[in-house]
Amino acid sequence: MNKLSRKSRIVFRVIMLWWMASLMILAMANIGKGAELSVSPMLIEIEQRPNSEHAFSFSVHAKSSGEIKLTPFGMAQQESGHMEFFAASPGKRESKGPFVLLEKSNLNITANRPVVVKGKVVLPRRVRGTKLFAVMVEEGESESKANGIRINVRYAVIIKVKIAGKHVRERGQFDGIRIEKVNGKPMISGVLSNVSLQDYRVRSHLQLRDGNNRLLERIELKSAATWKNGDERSLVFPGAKVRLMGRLEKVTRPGSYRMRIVNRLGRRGQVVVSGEIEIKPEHLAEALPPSVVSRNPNPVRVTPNPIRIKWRKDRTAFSVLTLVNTQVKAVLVRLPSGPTDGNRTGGYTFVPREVRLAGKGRGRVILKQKQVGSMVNAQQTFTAEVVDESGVSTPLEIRTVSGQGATAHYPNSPKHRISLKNGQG
Amino acid sequence: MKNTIKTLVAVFSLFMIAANGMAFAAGGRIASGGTVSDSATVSLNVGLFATIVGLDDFALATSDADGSENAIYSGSDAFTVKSNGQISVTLTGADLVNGANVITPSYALDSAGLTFDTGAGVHNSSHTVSASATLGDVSDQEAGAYSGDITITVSAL
Repeated sequence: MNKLSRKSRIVFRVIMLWWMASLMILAMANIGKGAELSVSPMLIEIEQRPNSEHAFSFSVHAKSSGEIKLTPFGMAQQESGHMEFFAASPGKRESKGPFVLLEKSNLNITANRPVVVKGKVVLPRRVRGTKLFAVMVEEGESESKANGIRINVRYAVIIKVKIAGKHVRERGQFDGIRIEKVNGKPMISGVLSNVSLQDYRVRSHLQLRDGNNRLLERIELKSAATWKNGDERSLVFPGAKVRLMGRLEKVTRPGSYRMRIVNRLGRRGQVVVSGEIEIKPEHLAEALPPSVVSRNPNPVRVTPNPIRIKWRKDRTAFSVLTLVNTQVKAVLVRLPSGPTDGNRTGGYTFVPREVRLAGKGRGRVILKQKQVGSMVNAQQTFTAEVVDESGVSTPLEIRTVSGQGATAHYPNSPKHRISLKNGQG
Repeated sequence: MKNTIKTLVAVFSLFMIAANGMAFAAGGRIASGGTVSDSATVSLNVGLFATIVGLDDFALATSDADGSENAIYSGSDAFTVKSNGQISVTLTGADLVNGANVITPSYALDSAGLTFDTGAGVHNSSHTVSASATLGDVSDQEAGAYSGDITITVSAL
């Protein structure tokens, strides 16, 4: 009997030791891990009338027992579109604004047993639009680590209150347009300010046209947060200023371009901005050689382009075109000359052959054409040359097509006599 | 007797009317076998849920001579983010402090900024939080244990 008791005691001690060792190993494994909270739901959407209260609740689950801290937070949207949280001011309740009340600010939680957090949103009279609140859920204070980084994980339960009542119109402003280089490509951006009382989603597009009014690129503009999460539209909250951006992929040369940005706000609102933007060499890839970077494909705009040619009975045509310098610096335009047939000039001729355009200036040119040799079709492309003050030349295309509405003028003398300071004219 | 019969007829009629009404209310159809069939739509609304698993405090270490000029200290920890919808994770970090001595580290999530957003839909992936700090001159900071806090905020927006 004594032997049996002794064996039983030994077995009991071994089991106890094994159990204690297991507990110690488990405890050591959890040192520093924290309670590993999880929260659900993380977004509570409420539609509520002014001068009322609305109860809400959410559950918190923890892997180990401990204390959780609950704090009402305010929210603001950053320029990137991400949300920023800040501790709600203690005087918020006295300021007669909407506020959140929690039943408890601290709760004891048992491992693997969810606890329900309860609170209510209080709305005073005369409030409209969308209001955002957050309840921050985090572990209670723990001892600071002597050496290294202590990590505190917190979960923001967002309470979005849409206040029922009169319809609030979506309104916005778009400004602060700028270009910067990102990864060797020009990035265009602007700030959309939501000046209305409700949140909305924005779909924004940019159209970029060259000096000849030719569509170069159509890109989407989104907030940084929206580019990251892959949404199609950017969410903008009331009072927020969110930067919408997009990368220009097809612009490879500096110069002046025409842009039009259309922002569609929610269901009905719209903000349209148009104007000119200057893309500088520093906005473009450094890998391009300087000679290419300094070139501008469209410093001069041709109007009309294409030119509609109307042939006369004597197989000649005369067309007037206008050259517009889109840059602030003066340029020289050298126009091409046609093929010769013996001593007689055939094909086509531009009069004058060279035009000097002051900054933002314009000039008129006559295109004389004669059907000789193989040139029987009016559809043709001429390549002129635009030379800037530093001597860098850029090709300029002038296109013609056959048409009845052609202009046919032939002044006796050309209007422009030009000369260049450096003697090129 | 006559009144009793009248009462019985009235009660029977009421019973029949009530039975018919219940059958209509159920919207069912009496089959040949005499059974009533009906259908109902079951709905379930699942809330947005998120959790961070496996994130631990960590220390910064250096491969340079400990405490030497411009020695670089770095450290990181991996964690898993699980969510059933789109969430945003943001890091805010403080300086490393040892009494009056301060070292300013740089922090990153997935080595790319202080915020990451999960895409639409469910998410269950491993991520990294990292910190690095560079010492100044040897006499710029006193030897000792430096510590600092990182706050990682998980939110739906």
